[in-house]
Amino acid sequence: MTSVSRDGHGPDPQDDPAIRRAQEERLARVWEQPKGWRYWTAVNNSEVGLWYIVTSFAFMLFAGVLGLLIRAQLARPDGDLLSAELYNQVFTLHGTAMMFLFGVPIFEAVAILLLPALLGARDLPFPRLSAFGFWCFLLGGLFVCGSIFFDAAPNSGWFMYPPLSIDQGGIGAEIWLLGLSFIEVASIAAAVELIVGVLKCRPPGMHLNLTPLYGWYVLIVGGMIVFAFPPLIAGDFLFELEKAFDWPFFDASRGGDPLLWQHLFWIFGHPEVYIIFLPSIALLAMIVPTFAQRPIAGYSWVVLSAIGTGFISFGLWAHHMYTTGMPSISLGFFSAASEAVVIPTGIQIFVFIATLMMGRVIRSVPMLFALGALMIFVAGGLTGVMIAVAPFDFQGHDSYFIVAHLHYTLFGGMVFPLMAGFYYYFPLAFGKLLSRRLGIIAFWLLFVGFNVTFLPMHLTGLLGMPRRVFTYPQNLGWEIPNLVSSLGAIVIAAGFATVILDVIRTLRNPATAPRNPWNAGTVEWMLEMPPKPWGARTIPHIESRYPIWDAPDFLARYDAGRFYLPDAEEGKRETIVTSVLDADPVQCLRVPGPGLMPIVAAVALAAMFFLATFHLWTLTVLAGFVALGAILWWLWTGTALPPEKPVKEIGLGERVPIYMAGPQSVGWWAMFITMTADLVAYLSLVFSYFFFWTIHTDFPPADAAGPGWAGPLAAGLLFVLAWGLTLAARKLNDRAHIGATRVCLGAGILAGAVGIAALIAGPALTGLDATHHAYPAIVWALVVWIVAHAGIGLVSQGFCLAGHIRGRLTSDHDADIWNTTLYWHFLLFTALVTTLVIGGFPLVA
Amino acid sequence: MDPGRAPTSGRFCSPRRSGPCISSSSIPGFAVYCAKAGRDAALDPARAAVLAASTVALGFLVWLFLGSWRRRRPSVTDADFSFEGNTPEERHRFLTHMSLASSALSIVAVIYTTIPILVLETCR
Repeated sequence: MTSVSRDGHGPDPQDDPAIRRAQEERLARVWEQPKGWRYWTAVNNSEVGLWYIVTSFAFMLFAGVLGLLIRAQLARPDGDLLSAELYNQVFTLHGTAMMFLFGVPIFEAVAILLLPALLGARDLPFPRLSAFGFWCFLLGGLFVCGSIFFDAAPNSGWFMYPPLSIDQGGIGAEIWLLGLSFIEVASIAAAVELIVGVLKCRPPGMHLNLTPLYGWYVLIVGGMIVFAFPPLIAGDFLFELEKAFDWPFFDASRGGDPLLWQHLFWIFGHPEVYIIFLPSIALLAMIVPTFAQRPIAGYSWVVLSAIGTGFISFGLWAHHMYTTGMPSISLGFFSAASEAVVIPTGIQIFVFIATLMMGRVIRSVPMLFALGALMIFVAGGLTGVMIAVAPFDFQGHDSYFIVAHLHYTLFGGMVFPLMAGFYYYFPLAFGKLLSRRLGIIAFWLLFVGFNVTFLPMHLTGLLGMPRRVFTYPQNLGWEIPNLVSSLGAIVIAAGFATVILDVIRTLRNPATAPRNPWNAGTVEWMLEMPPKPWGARTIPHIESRYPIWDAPDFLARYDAGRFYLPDAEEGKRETIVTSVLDADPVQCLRVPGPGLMPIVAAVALAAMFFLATFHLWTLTVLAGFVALGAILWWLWTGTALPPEKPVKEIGLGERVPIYMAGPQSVGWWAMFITMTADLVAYLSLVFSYFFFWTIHTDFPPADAAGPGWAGPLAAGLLFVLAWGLTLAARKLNDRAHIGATRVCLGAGILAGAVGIAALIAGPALTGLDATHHAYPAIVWALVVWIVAHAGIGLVSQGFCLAGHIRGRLTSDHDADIWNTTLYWHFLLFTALVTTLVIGGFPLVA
Repeated sequence: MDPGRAPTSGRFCSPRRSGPCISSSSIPGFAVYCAKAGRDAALDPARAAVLAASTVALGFLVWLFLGSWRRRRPSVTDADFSFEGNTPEERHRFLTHMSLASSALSIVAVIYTTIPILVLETCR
């Protein structure tokens, strides 16, 4: 049979098997994995996603062993397996690793692995950014976890409350602060990658309303990370300044307040719970329709409820702080908001149940885990409703009731859905099916073990046992529930051991899974088994949510390469960028192949953070320069490279440009999202300034001399000038005024540099001593923040100037200067707010 | 100072420190009012401000809701809420439906969080 060609004229070349074979050979060569030690330089999502998953599972197992140690210690009264100090380190690291090294990273890991397949794309838009994020995560995680072997692990609980963590935290607190800040960088990098991936890399035809639900969840959770993680980064910044330089942000004797940390932590910490929960529930949204063999009932309601949950989750944080003596109005407000979040959360659960009731359910291991997840999560949600009510929480606060509640929500909302997804998507990653029999055994071990461990903890808590005690005396009635919990923990361990055994057994077995083994309808199951290095053979044109079910010839057309980009003629890795709303093809994006730079940059940045922990400042600065150099080299040699031709034929009669700059390009979007996150961190610092103002009757204090208005005013004007020159350079470059562009960039650097000096001069010349009081400390913190950002702004201008001189930045290829200008928009805003706050507010206060 | 509680730990708010606690609410002006006025201050001025803010928010949300309601059309594929069609128009209908439902959810959330201010009398 002859079909119409891709451009609509003459016979289709895809009819010729020889042509198709040649295309596949070229694709295989382009997407080939590097061999030997160079394997670790791979950046493709299939490798990086896999490493990410394995690493976060390894951290989970490590934290699980710590959990077993906790249970062994508490199995009987007056336990002496662990000393009090070691116990503090163990429970702190258990919580820290589970939340920061497993809960959030596993979302990024799974999304990096799966998202391109779900979108029919060859890769995500910034593969090296994913690789960089992975290496940051690995190094930061090893640093934090390794500390326990040197008796130096953090020991003040996973939320690190001052003053305890400052007075007794020792170096462990700094390992926590700097190690986790470093990992948060990786999380934000992944969020940027995933948001741009969902918005701009959907296959042609996949309108927003056809996007897989997993894509929606990734988009929402990515957005939540952008707004939730920065407050913690700001908190870490202040905390590290206090630990390292004695700036008293959290020291009540010098005008600080420990509650500021609690606010910054929980503004992050509560959305984080949903950041962990939503992507796991997203896996259920893919699994349930497959095993009900029908489309999801109420697609739009799931999207709505995911957005609603994400949004409301930002208004709940103070329910972690009910016992800080908040006024009743705050209690009332946060109780009401905490109850309100039940509405959207419940909608998702009911949609899954409705889908199952309307379909014919096929029994399988993923479904077993999905049902277990719903049962456990509903139980955890109900205790959540109880402790959202302040009077009940006063009784349960800091007791084992809370421990039971949080484990029910996290196991039901995250671990079980994740296990369901693990069994479901294992064939997509390895081309093999896990054992049904072992899966069922593992499920029952985990389900029974979990309930035996954590159900009695509700009782232990109501009987008055506080969390985080390293032992307890006899005759309080706590012996039996604790012993039962400890026995249950062994059963959970046996469940995970069964899963690991199953994985090893399956990977050794040469038998491969059939294609689309679950008879699913979504795009990702078009992939061949075992999976090919190139991912999608051809990037499909999507016309429905379940193309494999709805279009009978979909797989045949896919196999014959009859969609977009069936070839790699130029020997480059390519994927398609589409428009945000209706996914019209707009660009053929060249994505980079293997490279060392992500590793070098991650190692240098890790060195910077780790050396700072030990206050080795010279080496820290040195490592910072190495990291900066590596990142600049990476940008110079590998981003926004001018292509050999302006447009390319991508199939089905579409011709799109290869190079794009400005708001249409993925790089501009990534910069915008990154800077939004950065802005949120900055606004958290401004929040801290006004937080101090609300708690003090005289703020700024009467004896504070600085920073005056002259320095900030001069700095503000100079930053306006530098911003204006950068914008002028972009516009002049667009009109190919070569000399004027360079003059503007050079003058912009000069104006920015003098602006930095003026900003520092304000507090420096008026003698503000940051260690004296929280007021000078927060003024200096704002100044340091802006100076560091302005420094990066100058480097960006210099980068553009050098690029312009070397001919890599021209009027046709101007992505760098577009992104630099965007950076300066944000920088200008934050600089002006800073000058108004530190220079202007004292005049009106 | 609050006579009933000695400031021995950072885990609760004294009158001077009630501000940060309240400032955690979504109504910063009200938080600042109570922080500066002290724990025993009457809520009345703040209540009026919060009710005004809630009314404005609800008015805006109702306006959004009605706007979406007027524009809403059932899905082209099955006259239901599936929105499975593969056209820009269907995508538009889907987004209209999302905005309709989101504004309804927001209206509920605003009412929920305004209720406490109706029953409390002081900043305590």
